[in-house]
Amino acid sequence: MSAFETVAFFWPLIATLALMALGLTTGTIAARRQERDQDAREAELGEFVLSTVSRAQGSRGRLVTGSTVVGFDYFRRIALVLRKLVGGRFRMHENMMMRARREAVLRMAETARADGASGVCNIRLVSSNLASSSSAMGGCEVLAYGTAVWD
Amino acid sequence: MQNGSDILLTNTDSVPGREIIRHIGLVQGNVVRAKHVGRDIAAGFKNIVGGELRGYTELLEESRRDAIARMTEDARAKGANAVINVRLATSSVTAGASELYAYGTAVVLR
Repeated sequence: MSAFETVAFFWPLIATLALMALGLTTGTIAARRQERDQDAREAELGEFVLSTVSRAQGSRGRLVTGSTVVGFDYFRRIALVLRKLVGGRFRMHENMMMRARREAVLRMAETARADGASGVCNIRLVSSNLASSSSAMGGCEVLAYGTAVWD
Repeated sequence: MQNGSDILLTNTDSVPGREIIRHIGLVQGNVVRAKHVGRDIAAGFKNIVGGELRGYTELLEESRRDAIARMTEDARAKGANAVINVRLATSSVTAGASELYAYGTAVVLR
């Protein structure tokens, strides 16, 4: 077999591995960058009250929402397929979902704060799967909503 | 999320600083939205590198606003000036289409 034929034969495998490496690198970089960004934004929020308690106190209130849709990168999708063979916890997706929830809550809180609210109460978090016709695609939506209150 | 309307929305069972003088009842609104090809292609690329699927975030935000607007219209038609205890839900009706659903209790506030 010539060198060219060898490459042609292993091409699907090479392409898959290359995509996995790309996914792992970009996915990890994006995750780190997002975490740093979220740390800074949470520090910025400071004393802003976020509560899941349903009693609303203050002079007025209104509904605020924040949401995000996350996609899983190629490496993590393949890793999940392999993980499903043996079952068990899948930490990469756990972390990804928690980052998405933080993002949704931050967006909601920032919307409320920009309007001069002093806090958000009765916060609810819901997530849903955005299934796609091709199983390779799709993402997960996380929504945070609550009642912004003013002192 | 006020949609520039005069109907007050909260997801708590009371409204701070206001008094409920009449309960009207359940009001609801929904939207079923399909993704489109352009956004699917962009999302397909994002599914290699990971990260937020902005196109979908925007699409769902728009649809949710529409669902809430329908609920608000329902409340207005029934003579309410607020909707309390609003709940938002999303479900995938079929592959490639999502349903955004908003419901709550229409009331009259003083």
